[in-house]
Amino acid sequence: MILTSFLLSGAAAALAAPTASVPAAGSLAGSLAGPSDGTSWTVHAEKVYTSTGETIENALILVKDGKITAITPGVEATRDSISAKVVTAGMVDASARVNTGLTSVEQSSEVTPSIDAKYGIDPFDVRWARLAKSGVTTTFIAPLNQNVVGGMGVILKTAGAADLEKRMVEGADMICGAIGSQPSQRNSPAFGRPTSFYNRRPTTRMGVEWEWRSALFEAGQAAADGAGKDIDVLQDVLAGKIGTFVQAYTTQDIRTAVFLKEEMMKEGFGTMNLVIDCGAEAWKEPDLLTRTNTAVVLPPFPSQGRTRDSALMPLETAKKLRDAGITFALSAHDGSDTAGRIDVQAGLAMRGGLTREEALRAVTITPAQILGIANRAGTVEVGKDADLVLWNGEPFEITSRPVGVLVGGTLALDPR
Amino acid sequence: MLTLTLLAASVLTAPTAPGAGSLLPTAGAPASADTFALRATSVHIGDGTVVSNGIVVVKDGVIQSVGNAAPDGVEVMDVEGHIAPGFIGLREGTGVGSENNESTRKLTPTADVSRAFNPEHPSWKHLVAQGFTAVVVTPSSSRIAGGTAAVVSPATGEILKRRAMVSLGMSSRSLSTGVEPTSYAGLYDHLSKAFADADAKSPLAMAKAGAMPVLIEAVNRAEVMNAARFAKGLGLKGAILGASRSADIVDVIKDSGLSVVFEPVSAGASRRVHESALALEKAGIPFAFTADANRRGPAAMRMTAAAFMRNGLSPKTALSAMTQNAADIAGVGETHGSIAKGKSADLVVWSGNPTDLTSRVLHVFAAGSHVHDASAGDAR
Repeated sequence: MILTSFLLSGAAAALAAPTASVPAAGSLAGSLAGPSDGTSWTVHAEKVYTSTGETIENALILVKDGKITAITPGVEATRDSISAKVVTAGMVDASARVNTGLTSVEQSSEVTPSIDAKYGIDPFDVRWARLAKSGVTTTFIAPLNQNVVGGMGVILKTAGAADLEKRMVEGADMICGAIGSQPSQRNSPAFGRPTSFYNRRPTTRMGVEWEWRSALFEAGQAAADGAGKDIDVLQDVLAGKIGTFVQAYTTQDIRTAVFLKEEMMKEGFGTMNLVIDCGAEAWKEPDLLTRTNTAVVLPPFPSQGRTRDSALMPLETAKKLRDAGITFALSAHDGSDTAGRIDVQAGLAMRGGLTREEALRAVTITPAQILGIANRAGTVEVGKDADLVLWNGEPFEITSRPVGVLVGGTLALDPR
Repeated sequence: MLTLTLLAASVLTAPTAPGAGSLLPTAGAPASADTFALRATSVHIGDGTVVSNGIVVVKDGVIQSVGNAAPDGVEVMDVEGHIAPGFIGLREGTGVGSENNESTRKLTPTADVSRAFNPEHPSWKHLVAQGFTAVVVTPSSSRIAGGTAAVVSPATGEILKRRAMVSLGMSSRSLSTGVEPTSYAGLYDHLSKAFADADAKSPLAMAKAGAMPVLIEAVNRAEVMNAARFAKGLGLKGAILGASRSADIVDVIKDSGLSVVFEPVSAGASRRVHESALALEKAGIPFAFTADANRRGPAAMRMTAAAFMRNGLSPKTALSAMTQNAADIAGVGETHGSIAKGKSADLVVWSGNPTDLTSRVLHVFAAGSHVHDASAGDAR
């Protein structure tokens, strides 16, 4: 309740906050015309939080053809520059849920490793624009959590070309699946409707784990070549070439995921590259996660006590993961919980004890590293994609918000 | 309406024409073995050209000539009005019911929907009365590869071409929970496999070889982009049905070489739908309309054309969409779709310009047979 009222008053405050750092409309408009492709700009900020640990003051960031080409510290804004109080790297949501409905997951089988999430994504969905305007510039999109092993996820920029292929970012290949109640929730027991394939799918957590284990064993024992597309994918999963992005909210499900990895190692099948998605109760199993070097993407902080699957995720969750030395990222997930914005998640993590720098890293460079795209995204550095968020104040304060967003140099939110 | 000149001058003596007043072959009679000629104020060829005081000569159900003259010995009947090619609509389900929907399987590409065509259905005459001389009967939208579509005549009940097109459902309409596949990715997976495994001479193999056109249902822009790429990758020819908001992805459609088929549009439709038609017209991408008379009534296609014209589509393109373009998309463009020598005499006599909503259908000829006469009180 306290949280809710805090958010409500906070939202009102954010709306009322003057955007003092943004020049009055019209003052610069005439001279701001970029080149025709609209991906080259100069951005001036009183402070640039680079996500590398460094803060650059009075910096002029030169953006050319969608890339950051120069950062000059200690200078004034030029006539042509777009100005902001603070600039950070574009935020990366490693567990975004844009437009992944039931048609994104192949439910006719519980294990569908070769299914590609890209066919289920609508680049024209209005939620992309909303996400971009909230400061998220890169997302990892997984098939919906209805399958045990759902299929390959896709890394996408949130704005730019309507053409999906052009918005995709090369990064880590990751197979997406779930452990917990989601994959079994809608299935019926064997004596249920006889005409549906749902009645042969797992109906319990035990069944879900069994499906994972049996699929991995089958792949581990199969011939290296020619065993089919699904087996090929799972063999790469076992070898760690394809990451394993597993949704697991609760302690028991996080244990299951880690134990599976350890069991596969013991069998000699390889070392899986595990990432726990929506690991709300990861803070309860720090030793397990550190000993297996497992990264965690947190779900949004619950506004009503518990997350999905009834997991407990207090505000101190992020701080506890930091203290344990666990790699973690924050996420707004499907945007349905707690104001639905990733900057709010970072603010709540700060309330739980993270420093601003740590919170910033958890929404920029860390998820970029998890996704294998740190060469292009996650920090404000020369040579990286021009994914920038322009803030009207200190990031993640309740009175601050993104007033400008560049995605690969494209102005997704115009501060002018 | 036929004039007195016609009554006096006609030499038609078809034995199958016992009609009291009209000397035209009686509605419902089989194709006349005789030669006859019609002269109208305007003859709309179907490619955009209009012949003033044009004469269309028909022999054995086939057009002999179109111009300003008739051969010696052939008497010319005057009709007051405009002659246009018979309308052709893609996707029609009159009389088919659910017989085009093999609901236990998503992929039955060798199924033949002409076997679900009921030529005796009483509603066909309403389509004829609205100027339709051919429609494409398709498998249900809820299948992924539901079978082959057929071109049929609502007027004569003939199957003009069976196995005319491969029907592919590549939209969310073809996905449901309960039957495999349930996802877009699964749809593409199954379809790719079906094309890869297709036996020679099977519909999918023929489609891949460019020998049988496809009719791909894809509705939203993401579906259209994915479908267009898929079709291009396999070298498929044909059309995308349902791409109603495609103004900003015209280049992708153009690149695929596919045509477009619009579903019924009303005058109040979104601006973006109208922009799509204009963008396609500008890009030179042919498009046609669905008939969908079973769902939207027999006049829906004409209303669609009018709604597009109201928002800037040229009457020429609108008429082509309802005639030649539709015939081309259905793979019967050589024999149907325009008024040209050697083509089937599928002619409609209109009281005015055929794309003008105030115009009425006066007479319909299907393969030269006089199948509809408005003055005789036929359904309209």
